[in-house]
This record gives sequence, structure tokens and C-alpha cells, in this order.
Amino acid sequence: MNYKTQKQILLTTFLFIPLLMLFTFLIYPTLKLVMMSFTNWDGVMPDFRWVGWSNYQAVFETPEVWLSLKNNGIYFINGLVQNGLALMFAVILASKLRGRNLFKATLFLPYIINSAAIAFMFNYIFDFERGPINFILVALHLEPIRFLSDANIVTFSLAGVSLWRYFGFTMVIYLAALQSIPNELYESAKVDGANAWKLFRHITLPSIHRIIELNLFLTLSGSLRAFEEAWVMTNKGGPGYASSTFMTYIMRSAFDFNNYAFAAALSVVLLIMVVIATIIQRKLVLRS
Amino acid sequence: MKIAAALTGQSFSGRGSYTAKQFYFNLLKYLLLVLGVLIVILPLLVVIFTSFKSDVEYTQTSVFQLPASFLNFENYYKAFTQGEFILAFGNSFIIVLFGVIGNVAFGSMTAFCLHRFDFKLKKVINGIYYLSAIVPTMCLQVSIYSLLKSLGVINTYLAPLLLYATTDIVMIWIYMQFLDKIPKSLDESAMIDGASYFKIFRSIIFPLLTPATATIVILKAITIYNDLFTQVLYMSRQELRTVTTALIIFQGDRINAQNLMSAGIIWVMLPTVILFLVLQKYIFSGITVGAVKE
Repeated sequence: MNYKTQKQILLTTFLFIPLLMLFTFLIYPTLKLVMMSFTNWDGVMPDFRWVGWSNYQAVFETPEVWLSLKNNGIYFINGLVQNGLALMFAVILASKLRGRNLFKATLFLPYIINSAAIAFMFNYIFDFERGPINFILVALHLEPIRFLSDANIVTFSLAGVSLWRYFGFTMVIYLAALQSIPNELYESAKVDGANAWKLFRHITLPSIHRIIELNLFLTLSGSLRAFEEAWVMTNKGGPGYASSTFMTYIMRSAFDFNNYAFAAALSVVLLIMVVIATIIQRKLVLRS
Repeated sequence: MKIAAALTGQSFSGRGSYTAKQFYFNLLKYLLLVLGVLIVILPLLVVIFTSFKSDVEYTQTSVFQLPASFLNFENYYKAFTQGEFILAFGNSFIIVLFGVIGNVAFGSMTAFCLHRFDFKLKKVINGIYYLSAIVPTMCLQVSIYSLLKSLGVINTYLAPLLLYATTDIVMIWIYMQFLDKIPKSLDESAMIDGASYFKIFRSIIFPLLTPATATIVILKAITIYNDLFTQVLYMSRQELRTVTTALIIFQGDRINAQNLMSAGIIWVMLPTVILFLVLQKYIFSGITVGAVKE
């Protein structure tokens, strides 16, 4: 068999299943989602009507949607804090240091822990009566905090869990970027008499500029997709809708309220937000 | 210069004396690191302590108090049996195993085709994978759910397997990066010997990709084991409980027995933590390759 025929056979057999799966679980669902968002399908009955833009109108007129979006915003601000802290710790870990690998591994550890285990662990940590944080607060004669049942606090508590979990991941990426900066850059700048701040400002920051953007993008798209903490820890975004996120609200609309079409419209809106964020990020990368 | 070293993450030759300023700066560095480590470790310690306490002990001692004995495995035994963890670990193992096999097989095959050959559809395929990196599958779950429902696979192993085995772009990137390092002259000399493309892939390329495969196996195993979304949504039947969902079911059953719950939490955490301790190197290299390429 000549190599030309072989190549055709190889490409067909190797790529058929992966492409079929990609088509089935990515392209088809995307198109279906958009289509469903213009109907009144309830997810159960076989028939539906076309209803134009009314689901999208409902998305913008539902107060819980805006509340959820605000909560995603809290996750995002929390993510910015996480990036700042992670960069600081990465800079520390990139310097000469005893026990560097141990510090790095420990700080990264939460990232590989099971999400349900983390959720239930923090349920306990945040427990109003028996939790360790309130134990300390009471010992210091301070008011205990209702971390998970006070509507004004709950989202911050959940975002805190997310920070605990993903901080090490962000840090390790910054650390890898810092360690790939060639040493000569610093050496020659030092000869020119640059001080520490100048080195950081003019060599370190520009060198890891792309990675900072990448991490910020991961933060933004991650915060738009926040789901697990609220789903498990506050029973799908409670109390009421206080800790609801876009994603928990989508899941509740579809599976608790059988409002598939509305959930589809919500998903499309979320998808558009994520895609816009991605495009902006790629533009920024191309610009530099 | 020590400060410069710290700020820039570079080591400087340490000429001159160790000044007071340097000393305080180093002290600050270690204080911050220790603080960070404490924030990571303390919640885990509290859970570990609690998991070894008997019911009476739990109600009578404070959270930070050490348990009377670290050999009191009663909660671990009870959590394991009442939470039906044998079933849960078995189910998690099945979805991890087949999910990982799917990713390795499809990922290496796709990467081989895209890296070594030029063909008409290549641009289109690259475009689709590029799209898959932008569109989060999580946003598509509403329609994926109705699709899987019409296929009749919800609450069977097939639903999570189909979703987990769908190659994600990061796997392909990792394979592509390793393929860059395997010289094409190897393929060519094998072709002179008359080896078929299949044989080249099977006996030359795939074995040389072992480090990439190791990274992907570990990363994917951890991701699938830890995933909540797919398992909650598609495996809600009791007999299909996984380690992740077992904890949720368990909590619903006995909400007040925090010491028992803590033991359950530790059971669930153990596998990936052990894997991480043993195979750190692969995990770190995997996430940096994946992320930086994105």
C-alpha cells in the first residue's frame, strides 16, 4: 500500500471518533442551545412553539439574574485579589529560599482536592455554632458570623473558598513564568545601575505580561462559571437567591423549574459573555 | 541587592555584608509563606482532628483540641460502610479509567494527525478545536442534557464516559508539544524500512510520547475524580454513586454527625492527595504546559 492511500486511511480512522464526539458534544449542543432559546420548550413535552426574543427579554427582566450576575462579579473581584496574592507569593518563591519546594507543594495542595470534600470541609469551618472561625471570634469576645446564612456575607464566604482552592494554581503558573525569564536580562540592567523596583517594573512585569493577561482571563471566565461552592454549600445558591450565580440559576431554571427555554437563553447570554472575554484577551495578546 | 533578588525572583551574587534591612526582608518573606501555609493547612487539620473524635468527645471538646487518640478509626469505618464507599470508589475508578483511556487514545491520535500530516480539513479541525477552547462545555449542559436524555444514557455509565472521553484541547496541546521534540527523521527512516504509518505511530511515536501520556493520565484522573458537575447531573441513581456524590448523599443522611462527616471527607481527599505527593513533578509540568499554551 503506498503512503498516500495509507495517509488517507490513517487520517480517517484516527480522526473519525474524536471529530464525531466533538461534533456531538460541542457543535450540535451549541446550535441546539441557540435554537431552544427561541422556543417555549419545557424540557418534558415533545412539542414547543417559537416565541422570538421573549426568553431573552425575560432574562433581562428577572431580578434574580441580575443578583446572580452581581455575585459572579464578587467572584471576579475575589479573583483579582487572588491574582495579586499569587503573584506576590510567586515572586517570593522564585527567590533564593530554604524549603521552596515544600512551600510550593503545600500552597498548591488545595487545587487537587476533591470539590465535594472541599465544600463539606468549609461547611464545617464556617459552621455558626461549632466552626473553628467562630470559635476564635467568640474567644476574642467578638460577634460570631453567619458565614453561610447571612445574605450579605454568604457570597464572600463562598468566594473565599474558591480563593483557597485556586490560589496555588495561579501561583504555580506565575512561578513558571518568572523562572523562565533569562538571568542575563537582570545582570545587564544591574550593570546599568537599576534598583529593585526598576528591575521589577521594567524587566519582570513586561516579561510575564502575557501570563498576567492569561491568568486574568482565566479568572474572568472562571468567575463567570462559578458553580460548585454555591451548589453544594448553600443548597443551590441560598439562602433564597443570596448566593445564586449565573450557573446555579441556569441549572435551577432547567431542572428545578422545568424552564428549559429560559435556561437556554441564560446559557447563550453566559456563553456570549465568556466569548467576548476571550476575544478581548486574544486581542490584548496579539497587540503585545 | 537581596531585595532586588526577592522582588525580581532572581539570585544575585551576594557581595557585601548581610544588613539589617536584608534580615527583616527575609523574615517578612518567611512570615508570609508560613501564614499562607497555615491558611491551607488549618482547615485540613481541624477536619483531621474531628475525624478521630468519638461522638461524646466531639460534643465536649473544642475544635482545636487534639483527639484523645489518633488510632480511633471508628468514624472511618462507619463512614466507609454507611457511605457505601466501596461502591463509590468502584464507580469513580470506572469513570476515571475509561475517561483517561479515551483521552490518551483520542488525544495522541488526533495530535499525531495534526502534527505530522497536511490535509484539506486540517484548518477546519484546528478551527473547531480552537472554538472548543473558547466555548465552555458547562454553558452547554442544558442542551447536552436533553441530548443525552434522548439517547437514553442518563443514569448509566455511558453519559459520564462520553463526556469525559471527549478530548479536550489541552491534552492535544500537551501531545503536540512533545511531538515537536520527536524528530521527523525518525518517521522517515522507519518509512525507508517499509513500516506503515500505523506501525510508526504504534511502535515509535506512542512509546516516545510516554512522558506526555503520564502527565495526561495524572491530570485527567484528578480532574475526573474531583469533578462534581457531570456526576451530580448524570449519575444521580444510588447505585451509580461516585466518591464525589457519595459525600453529598452521606451528608443528606446524617447532617449533625460532623465527626463522621469529617472521616468521610478525609476518605474522599486521600487518593488525589497521595497521588500528588508521589507524582508532583508530572502535575506541575502538566498544568504549566496546559495553561501557558492557552
